[in-house]
Amino acid sequence: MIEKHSKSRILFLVFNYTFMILFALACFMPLWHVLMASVSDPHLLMGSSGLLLKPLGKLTLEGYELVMHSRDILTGYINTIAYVLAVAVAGSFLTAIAGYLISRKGFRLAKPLTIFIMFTMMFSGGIIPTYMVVRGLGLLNTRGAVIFPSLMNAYFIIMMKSSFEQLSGSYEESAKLDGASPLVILFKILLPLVKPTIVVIIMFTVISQWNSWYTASIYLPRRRDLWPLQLFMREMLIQNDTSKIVTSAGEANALVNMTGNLVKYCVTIAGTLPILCAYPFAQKYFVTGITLGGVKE
Amino acid sequence: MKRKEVTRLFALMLTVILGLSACGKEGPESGGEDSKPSSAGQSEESQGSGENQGNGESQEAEESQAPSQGGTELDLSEQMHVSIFSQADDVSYEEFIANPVFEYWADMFNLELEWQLPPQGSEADQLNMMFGTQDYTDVIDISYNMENLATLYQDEVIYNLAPYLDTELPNYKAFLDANPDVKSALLDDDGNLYHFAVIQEAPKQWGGLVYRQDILDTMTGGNIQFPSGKDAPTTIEDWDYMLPLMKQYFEEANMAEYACLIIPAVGYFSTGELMAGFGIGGLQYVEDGTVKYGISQDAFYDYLTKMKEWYSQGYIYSDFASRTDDMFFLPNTALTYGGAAGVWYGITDNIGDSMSLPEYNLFVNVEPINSPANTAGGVQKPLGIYLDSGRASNNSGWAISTACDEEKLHRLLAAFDYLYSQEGSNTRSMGLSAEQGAADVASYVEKGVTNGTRENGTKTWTEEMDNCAEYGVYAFCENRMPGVVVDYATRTCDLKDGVDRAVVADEAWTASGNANVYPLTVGFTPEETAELNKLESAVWDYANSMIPKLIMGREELTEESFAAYQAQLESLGMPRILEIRQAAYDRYVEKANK
Repeated sequence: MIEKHSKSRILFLVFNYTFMILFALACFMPLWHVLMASVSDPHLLMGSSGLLLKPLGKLTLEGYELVMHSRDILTGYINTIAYVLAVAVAGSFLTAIAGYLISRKGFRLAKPLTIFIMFTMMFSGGIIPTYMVVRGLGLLNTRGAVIFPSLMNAYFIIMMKSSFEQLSGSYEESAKLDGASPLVILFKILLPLVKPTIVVIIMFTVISQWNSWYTASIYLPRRRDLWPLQLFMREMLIQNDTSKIVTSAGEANALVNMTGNLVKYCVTIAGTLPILCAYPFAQKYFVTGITLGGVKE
Repeated sequence: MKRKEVTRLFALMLTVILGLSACGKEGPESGGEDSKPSSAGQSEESQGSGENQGNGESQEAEESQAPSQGGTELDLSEQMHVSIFSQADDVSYEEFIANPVFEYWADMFNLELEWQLPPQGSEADQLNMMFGTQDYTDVIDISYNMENLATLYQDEVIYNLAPYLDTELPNYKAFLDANPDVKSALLDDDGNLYHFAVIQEAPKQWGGLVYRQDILDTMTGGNIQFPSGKDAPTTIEDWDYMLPLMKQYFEEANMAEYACLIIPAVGYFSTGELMAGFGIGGLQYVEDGTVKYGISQDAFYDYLTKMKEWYSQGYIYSDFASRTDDMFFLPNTALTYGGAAGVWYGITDNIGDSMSLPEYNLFVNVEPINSPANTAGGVQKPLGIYLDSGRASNNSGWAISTACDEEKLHRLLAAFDYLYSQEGSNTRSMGLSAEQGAADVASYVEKGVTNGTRENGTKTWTEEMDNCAEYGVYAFCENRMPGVVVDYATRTCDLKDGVDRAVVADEAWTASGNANVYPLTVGFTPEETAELNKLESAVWDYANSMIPKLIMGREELTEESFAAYQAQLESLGMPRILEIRQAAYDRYVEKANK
């Protein structure tokens, strides 16, 4: 049966679809522009303005070749992947345990701990005290300075707590009757039930860690070899410095400048593409995961 | 316990606490006689005993061959770890610290260097973090320091070097004694010296207005006829002749976007280019001993009127005000390097045909020019505002922090002093010579410049270096390192029509001289600095938002509206700004005349 829509419904749908398409285009076009620019003729690119819908001139991968041969980019990739993996795996594990702990009804310290965690969401120590703590722990200029402060996120713990609280108590009770230990209950019974929340936490962690540069800029001042990709990218894009990629070997001043311009687009794509590819795989968990903790039984 | 006994107990405790705190006080003032803060008299005395001619040119290299400490041999048997906070803007090496000059210098003084190189753009943040946490490196590059150096010393962040001039800094002292202008710039009113400066032997203007002469040649068939009758555009009338030709050229070339003239986003050059042609400086400048501010002068109205006219006729880059993070000397590179700009603030490297791209049939000829004189307005010659940054300033160089203990301090004093000797200056400016083991340095071998000989201390590039456009100057020298920057001979690759392009540009840009410049080395007290920062920040915020609007016509530009603009500047503290700057300038002049 074909459903008949009222006029107002049709009007709403037209407006809705139009708005959504325009919104999607607004998100997509800048990325498309950068992609097209990254494979354009560098000279034509320098003289062009406005949005690019197709590559300018002959398609070239010259910029990507330079980027892929850059030691900074390679170092940045390795470090970023290391940070992302460490923080996502260890962070979500610790968050799950913390969320489980404070969600237990019989646990006396659950409330004070929850208040303590929520307090940190509202009041931060500030940069300098945090820096002094990191320094005091001997983490300065080590990978630990980037990894450890990022492991626990108060918002994620509360999200996890809500997810556990929403599960029926009968799961736990029946497991107990079958002789399951608390660890078995957590890892084999409850965690699989809150998988969407964990996936969302992992995804958020991965994205924020992938885009993170500030922590490294503060805590790794003496270890350029430990910098994440985004910090190198910041130097190239914000500070307009692609000199370490585009060496002046045998090239005229203008040519160096021109290639540097192209490289910026290539670096942007190189830094964005991996995280963009990961998105679709976590898409299906997003809505369920975020709302899971917000529904009362 | 009775009240009397309690009182006695408190008194005893107070005595013990005071005694302990007096004994335990450490920092720059406690390390013995040498490290006590110097008094003016002490410094004057040390300056007066200059026994050396000082200039790097005339010093004997042998004088500083063996590291010494106050005439005695320095004990270098143990390697010493030294941390250095510095900028990292090297372009010739993958890493800033890979420059062989650093390695040579560190080996010479048995130093193990650990670098703290902040990400570009985060230098000031990191420096402030360092100050905030008191987690100082041993050596601090002061280029991004916003504090008064005297304040840093008073806060026990850095050492005062003046007490060591006589005893442990013979080369630095000799250079200062032989160069009173540098000495006057570096020592404060009390004779204190806080850093090892980067000193230019023969500074040249690095940037100024440039124009595409090839466009005019093309449009006139080589028959350029400026109304002034000169070979280059020197008056506003000349520019009125030039800019339409440029516009016509770009339009005929069907350029999607072009700019006959690129001005900074704030609508004026803070260093005074263009405005000088109207008889005023950019921000602060000096006229007959009186400090003035260009953007608050009456003649600024004439400048704004002309800019508004050029903007409305499409000669000024239409999006000039929307540019955000690029400095005025780094204008839209898509336009300049893409061949779509006519006049902009260029740098020495732009001069001549260096911006041509033969692969793309783009052949340009960029020429340096002075500001155009507003002869119709009665200005026959542009103001002499070309910023001579001086041979040394308090804004560049390295200071020794109080993180260093006495032993490290003395080792560093000797190490830095070496950079002011002839050999040290040559090394930091031109790289390692064959005698210094250039043949053993992998990067030199790779670049084929192992034969770097400087016979008898003469300042010449080697034959290999002479033809090394691709290597860049900084493959050899280290521009961030303290010491004397020697005026090395011109390399073939730096020539334009047989003349050093830096010389060609310098002559054009400094044609009006610098008699009206407010020197960069004028010193302020910490209180003056604080007040000035606050007031100027407010003035600039207002002016920099208003001026582009006036030029673009978004705010009405009439004599009345301009008077209101001037009144607002007054209310934001312009008179007090001028008062502070005048007082500091007067002290500067007095000190220089001593």
